[in-house]
Amino acid sequence: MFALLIQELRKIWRPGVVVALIVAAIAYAVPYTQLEAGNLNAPGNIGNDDTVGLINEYGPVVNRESVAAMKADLPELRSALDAKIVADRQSKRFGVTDYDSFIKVRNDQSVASVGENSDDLTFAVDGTTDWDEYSERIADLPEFHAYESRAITVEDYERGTSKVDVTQRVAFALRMFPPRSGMSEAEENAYYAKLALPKTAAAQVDRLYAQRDNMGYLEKYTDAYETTMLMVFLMFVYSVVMSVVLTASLFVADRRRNMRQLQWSSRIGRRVTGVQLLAVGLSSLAVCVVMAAVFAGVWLPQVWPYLATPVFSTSVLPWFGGWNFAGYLLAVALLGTVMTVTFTLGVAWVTHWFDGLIRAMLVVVPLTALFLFCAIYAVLGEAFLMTNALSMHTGLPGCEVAVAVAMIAVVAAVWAVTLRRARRADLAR
Amino acid sequence: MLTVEHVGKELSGKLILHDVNLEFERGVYGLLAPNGAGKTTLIKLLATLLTPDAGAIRWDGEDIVGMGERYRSLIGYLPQDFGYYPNHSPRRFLKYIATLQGVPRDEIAPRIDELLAMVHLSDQADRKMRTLSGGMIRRVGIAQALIHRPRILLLDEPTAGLDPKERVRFRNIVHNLAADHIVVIATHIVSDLETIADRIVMLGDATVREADEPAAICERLEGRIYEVPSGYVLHDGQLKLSEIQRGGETAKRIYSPDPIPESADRGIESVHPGLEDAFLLTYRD
Repeated sequence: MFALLIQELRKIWRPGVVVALIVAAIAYAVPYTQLEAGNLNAPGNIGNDDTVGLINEYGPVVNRESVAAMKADLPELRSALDAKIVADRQSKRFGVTDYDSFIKVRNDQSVASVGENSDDLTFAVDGTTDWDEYSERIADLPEFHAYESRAITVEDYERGTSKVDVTQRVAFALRMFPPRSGMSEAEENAYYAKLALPKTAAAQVDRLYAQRDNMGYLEKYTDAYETTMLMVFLMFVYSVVMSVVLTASLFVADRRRNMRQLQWSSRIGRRVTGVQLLAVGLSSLAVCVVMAAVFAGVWLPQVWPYLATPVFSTSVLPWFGGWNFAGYLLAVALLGTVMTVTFTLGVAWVTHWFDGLIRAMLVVVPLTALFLFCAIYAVLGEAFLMTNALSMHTGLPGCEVAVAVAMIAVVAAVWAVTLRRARRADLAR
Repeated sequence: MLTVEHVGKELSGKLILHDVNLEFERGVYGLLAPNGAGKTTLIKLLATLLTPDAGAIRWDGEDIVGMGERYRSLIGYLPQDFGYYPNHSPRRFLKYIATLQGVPRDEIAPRIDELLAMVHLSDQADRKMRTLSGGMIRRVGIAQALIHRPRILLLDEPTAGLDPKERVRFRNIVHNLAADHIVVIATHIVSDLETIADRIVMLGDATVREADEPAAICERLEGRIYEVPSGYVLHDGQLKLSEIQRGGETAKRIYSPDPIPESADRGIESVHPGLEDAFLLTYRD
């Protein structure tokens, strides 16, 4: 049986098709990856640099210990920053003497610039140096970033995440909105504080609330999450397309060439279909593993510092566990792999009814496009987060897993019926 | 022994076989019938690709459907529309079939070489099958049916596409196998069977019309087959079987239930009946 499996795998992995798919992958994915990698890690990308700096110095988790360390470093960093500000010749002109006064003037300018009367602007352009140029210069100081990134992190942490905040987010994800609009913030807080959540959702609130002391950095630089997920979608699309292109012709070709007469009358008999199905599933799995390896080799180094940081933060709430980003990506990859392999087996079931490849493709191509759209929009998009579209619409936390299970159940059922019927089916033609 | 007992089969609402009874022991069996008479259906029943609606087929008394793998390992099958992979070489294709048939791995390569030599395809062994002629592909089909040394060979129109030389070669192969195999050949080409069949089975009207040794079938027509001039007027009961060329002139080969006086002057001559005469008489319009 193993020897037959190898033979069926050889029929699937046709060298010409494999080479064509690899060339297509290189032609499309390499420029796209370079572009995204360039955007993420561009020189002077302050958001990324600051966040990576904090992770490298204080570890990947924002917790009591790391915040205490940050807090201890603040006075020294503040002195260094103040000294730099004073040393700038323009500071005196704008009445800036230290960080606090810089922030105050900047806020005043900001308020004035959005006011109706431009005369409110404290500093007019004098033809040589204006406020914008000065403030940008100060804000670009390494000392400014070193101090401010820590100060904001400490402030956010100390402000804390209240249980009402968490309840509000869970209730929002479950579509349990306040009964009427126009509530004041206090009234809304009171509503969520008294809200009776379903038992499982209440448990989620407790779990998330307990996690408030172990937050991650993804929220501080969301591009790290969003760009990585774009790359995940790219890999997913390619895994599905490659799996389908490789395997779709197996059953069609055997049917078109009347191979089933020889297969079914052979010693192994009608079990050959089961072996072919296994070959299809293994091929799709191999494609997913290769894609995951390419992703790990090419993309993960770009977001390496973020991998150990928890997914949880005040605005990014996962439905499950205390995942770090690497664990989260692994879970998404597993979900994507299960869906890809299952869909490929489903496509194999569809194609086994056809004896012409073109006719089969007329069904398979739209089916694949529809699947990719639904999978990315509803399942893999913000997968396992409370903002996932499917979870939001159904009010069922983590129903991405249920979708995968449902896919497995449907495909397993149709193949089980088909294989059972084939055991006694007549092969008249 | 392979026995077909009261087998009936309907396909798409049409009765193809009804109450068919046959026995197969070692030797060559020719299923001789015109197209559409049920030869392929009977072969497919023997190959377990179809299951009987009525009756049973047994191998040494055991139902072949229940035997499953044990029975299928005994049969080699060449379908009428033999399927193959155009991008495979004969060697790779035979390796695939050997794997389907469960031939031990270390026996596959020598067995393939042996069979390719037998069907005179050794020098084509590594060419893609899409570049081979129809006759060569048919020979690959014969080789694949023999790959696992089956005891029962089911050959459906095995000589279709073969040239006369290849037909002779095929007959020699079958003749050599007949000693220790059951060989069932379905064909409508009488000459394929005339010299090698131990027994002829003629199917018609969904059942067995004739099942006997070729000599016995021919013997029953002895004294009833004549060659007559083309202008000869047929009498009641007489049937024209075919037209032939005799001494540069067209003549008729006829069946006559009653003796006709032979006459060299009138060109009327009694001849030895052949299988083709029996076939044409059985399936006359």
